[in-house]
Amino acid sequence: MKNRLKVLRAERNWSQAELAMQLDVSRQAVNAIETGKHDPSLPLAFRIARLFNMSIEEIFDDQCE
Amino acid sequence: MAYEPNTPTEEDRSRAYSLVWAGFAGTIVTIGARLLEIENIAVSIAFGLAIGGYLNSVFHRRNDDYFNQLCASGHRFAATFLCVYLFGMFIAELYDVSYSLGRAITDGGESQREVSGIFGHFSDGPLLAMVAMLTFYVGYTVAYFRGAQS
Repeated sequence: MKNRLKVLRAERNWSQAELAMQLDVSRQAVNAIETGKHDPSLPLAFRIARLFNMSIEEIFDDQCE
Repeated sequence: MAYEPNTPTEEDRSRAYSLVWAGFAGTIVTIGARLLEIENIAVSIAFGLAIGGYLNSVFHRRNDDYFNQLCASGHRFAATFLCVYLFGMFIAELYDVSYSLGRAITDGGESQREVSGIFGHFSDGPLLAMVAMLTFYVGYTVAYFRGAQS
């Protein structure tokens, strides 16, 4: 699943570790989501959306498999 | 917000990934040492790492979803190995029973063959457990490189 996490993180000048800390996950998990190796669970997707003040659909695109 | 002193930090969660790689290396060393019959302190430390990495995979509340998915893939590999092993034992047992039965019917007596002969190859329990642990690490690694999708 494609997502805009890397762009959103870069806009805020956050490192993967800083974003991971705010989401209560590991740096490796953030990296895996950004590279499309891992689809986050629903609770984590909501946490990401809340953190960036956006809806889940604005961050994740399930049409681009 | 409630004070939770044991809540894992990002560093704790990241450390879990490193521990798995150390455990993988430890498992390879442990199995190699067992096959070559080498015993020393380095092998004991490698064995400890191997078990630590495997044990860490079951504490799912301390780890994140991604890590748990990678571990789930590893556990599937280990379970598959055990199923194949048990199926092999089942086939071997059928062979032993049918052989003994055939001897009893044709000769009317006891089988002279040692019934448990075939099981000799399957009976090294510690080695079996170590190979199952190795298949866990292989499954984890496969998922890590291919991607862990839910």
